[in-house]
Amino acid sequence: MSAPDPDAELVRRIGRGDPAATRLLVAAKLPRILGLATRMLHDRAAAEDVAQEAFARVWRSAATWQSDRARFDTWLHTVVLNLCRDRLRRRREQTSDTLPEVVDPAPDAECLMLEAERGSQVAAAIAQLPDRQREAILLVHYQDLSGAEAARALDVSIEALESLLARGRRTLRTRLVSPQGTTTDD
Amino acid sequence: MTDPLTLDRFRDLADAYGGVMARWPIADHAAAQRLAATPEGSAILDAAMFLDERLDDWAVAAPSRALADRVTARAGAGVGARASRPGRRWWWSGIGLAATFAGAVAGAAVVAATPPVDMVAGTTSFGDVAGMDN
Repeated sequence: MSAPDPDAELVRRIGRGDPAATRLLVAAKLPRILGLATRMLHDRAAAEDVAQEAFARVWRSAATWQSDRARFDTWLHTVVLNLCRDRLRRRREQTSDTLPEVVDPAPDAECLMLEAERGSQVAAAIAQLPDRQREAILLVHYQDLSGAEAARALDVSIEALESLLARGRRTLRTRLVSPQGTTTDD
Repeated sequence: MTDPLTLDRFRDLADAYGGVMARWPIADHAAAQRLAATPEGSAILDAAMFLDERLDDWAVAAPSRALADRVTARAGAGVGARASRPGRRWWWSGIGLAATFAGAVAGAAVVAATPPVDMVAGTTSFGDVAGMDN
């Protein structure tokens, strides 16, 4: 919390219109942001739209960015999470009109075919987790946010975050890893 | 303030954050490394690491150069779009009065048809996730 925000100076430079800083930020953050959106949405094109929208918000906010309010990286992850949640919500609403039985967002078949088989199993197992457990796993394991940052992005306490993580990982262990420590391959 | 890290807490941390201690709370690192050197701690980490490695099988392709270029290109138009310009505030306020009246009618229709904005500059909004625990 009290540690200086490592991105603050870069964002300030972007706010002053520094193109080099803009390129640096895109190089540093775009892979992470696209990774989170892809894993949330299981749809590459939609994930790219979300990444572009998230950066558009960065550009709009850079000149007035206040580093004392939130770490930039946490704020950016929150923006992406909210954009993805909004898309998932709309997808669920559209799906529920035609397929009432489908509740959880599932990876689309085309996307899964493009992913490696083992990765597809992991993707499918994570997609079946409850929303908050899935988001906690994505933020901590794949995005490497600290517990404090992930808790802030999800607006929960550290204890609640650890509970979400532990429950999610427990479920994933039963789905992906056999008790003997060998992986399941259907 | 510095409670000793028990084996139960060590197990809880591994259950939550996995076997890579870099993901654990910094405050626990030193004590966790000592416990990791014990047979019990090592076994806990190994089990957690096994799931970590399984999760790492899910890789996501890096962004294309074209996407990076599109994102960067939008920066020129977007940076500072919300920044205030003190010397022009009177100008904006004059326009704003007229626009307020003109926009009120159209705005009502747009607001009704537009999905809620989930984030404003410099702040976070989590109202949409309340009650979604589990």
